[in-house]
Amino acid sequence: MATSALDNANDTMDFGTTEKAARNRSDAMNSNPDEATHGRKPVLSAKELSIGYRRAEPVVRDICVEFPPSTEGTQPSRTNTKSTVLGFVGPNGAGKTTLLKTCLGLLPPIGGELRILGADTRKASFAKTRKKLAYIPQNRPEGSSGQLRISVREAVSFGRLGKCGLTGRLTHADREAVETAIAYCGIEDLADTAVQDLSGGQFQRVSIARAMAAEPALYLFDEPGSFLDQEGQTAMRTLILSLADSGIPLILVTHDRALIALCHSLLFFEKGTARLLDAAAFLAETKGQEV
Amino acid sequence: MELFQIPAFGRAIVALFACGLAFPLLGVYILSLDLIPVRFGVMHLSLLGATVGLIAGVDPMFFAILFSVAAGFVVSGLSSRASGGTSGGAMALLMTSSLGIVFILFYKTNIHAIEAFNLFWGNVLALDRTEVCLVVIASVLILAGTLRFLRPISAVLFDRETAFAFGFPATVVYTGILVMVCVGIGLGIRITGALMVDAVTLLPALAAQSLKKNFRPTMMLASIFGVCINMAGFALAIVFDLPTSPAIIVVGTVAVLGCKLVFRMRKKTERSSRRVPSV
Repeated sequence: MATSALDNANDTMDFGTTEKAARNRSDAMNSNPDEATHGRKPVLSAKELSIGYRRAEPVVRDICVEFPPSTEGTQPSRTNTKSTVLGFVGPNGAGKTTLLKTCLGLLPPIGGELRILGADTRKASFAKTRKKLAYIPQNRPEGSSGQLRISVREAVSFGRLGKCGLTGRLTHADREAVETAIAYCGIEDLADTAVQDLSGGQFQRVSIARAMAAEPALYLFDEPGSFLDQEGQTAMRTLILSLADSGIPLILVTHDRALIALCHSLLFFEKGTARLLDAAAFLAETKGQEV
Repeated sequence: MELFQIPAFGRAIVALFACGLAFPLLGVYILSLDLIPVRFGVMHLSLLGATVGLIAGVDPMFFAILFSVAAGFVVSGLSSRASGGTSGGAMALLMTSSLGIVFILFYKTNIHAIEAFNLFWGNVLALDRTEVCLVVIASVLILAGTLRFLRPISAVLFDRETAFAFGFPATVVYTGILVMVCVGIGLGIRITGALMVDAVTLLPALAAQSLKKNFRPTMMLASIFGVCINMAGFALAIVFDLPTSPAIIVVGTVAVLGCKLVFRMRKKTERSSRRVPSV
């Protein structure tokens, strides 16, 4: 039986070291990350992008960024991860989650252009690109739908739906991907438990397993671990760290300095706009402050 | 027994059995997708459709279904604009304006009082052969659609936004669910009446959900409860000379309360067995 990434986690998090076993499994899960995106098309590029909700004033205007930057002079600082990691940081309500939802095609851009993995989010063809994305939401689903009793295995299998066609029938390969993701996230014991009976930390691990089962080309995290206790946050960071070492790019909406340390660059949201910053420089500048 | 040889009774039993099997699945969708206000809006719009049908001299059920399916598409559009939820204000407007127009039409046209009354109270014994066929066909389609697309449906019921984000055509599935719900409501109006459409949809679903089982067992239980509640309600109506729809509601309510009680007792037993120290 495969041991989980969490089994290998140290009691105290050390982001300078990476668990060998986690890396191995990570490589197994994501066998060809380079092919996905790395080093070819930008993970995210925005031109004069304005985002927000329909019929409302834009939350953020004129975002002009490309990540990873193409020009030499603006190369981001190196971190200890193999993946390209971009963080969205800034105060609450500044538009981080709005941009994440725009990246996923859940919200259309109000103005300008946004490309994810080279695909224009406004075009119908973006539906194909969306199948390569894996979204890890902040919370459990809201409302009555969140009360729908679904087993952990089933919830993880939803990550494969983008690849299964409309009937959602799982092939042997799909089932294998689901089981591998469950094992990787250390939730085998919970596989038949209803997600409603899980703690917040366990539910986030299920969300990550669902994302991994999708075998994506880009992970998008919305404030991972924000409602978790210290132990849950540590476990969450370990999982994200192992993903960051897989070679698959990550976008993280976060206030967590430990996670910001994983990032190559940051998109900093402030005063209705956003600009790209070097993560290491940002951490040094804001030392001892909440971000 | 002689009663069952009367064609109207035979047709009523077939219709109640078919909708008992399929319509509670719609109840699970309504509850899981927070469609209670939507269902009110659709119900009123299909009532308007049925009234238009009566005035036009066409089977009111056809118009009720037509109007409710149109309402389904409107709701789907509203909900995608609202980015997740459904627009409560728009639903309230739809609901009250439909009801207002229905009463103006009742007042200004020569609709027979009993026919108008039947729209509110329903009359399963008044179903003709075509209407029963429609109920059976719709029930088979609902059951087949649910079985065929169970996983995508459960993904959308669980978290529509995330299902969409993973590249799954969640909007198509959501619209399909809404259309099924709307067709069910349109048909339900003829069987149990506009005021009691919940009897065949929500009550069996509520009873099944009270037992806190996982999604698939809940769907199965809802169907079983649906058939049992409809048949028991119908029997009760015959034995005690009651109107069918209220009798079904009474049985459904007892079933919901019974299931809640069973669940509580089961939990209590589980808790007390955990407290007993092992020897």
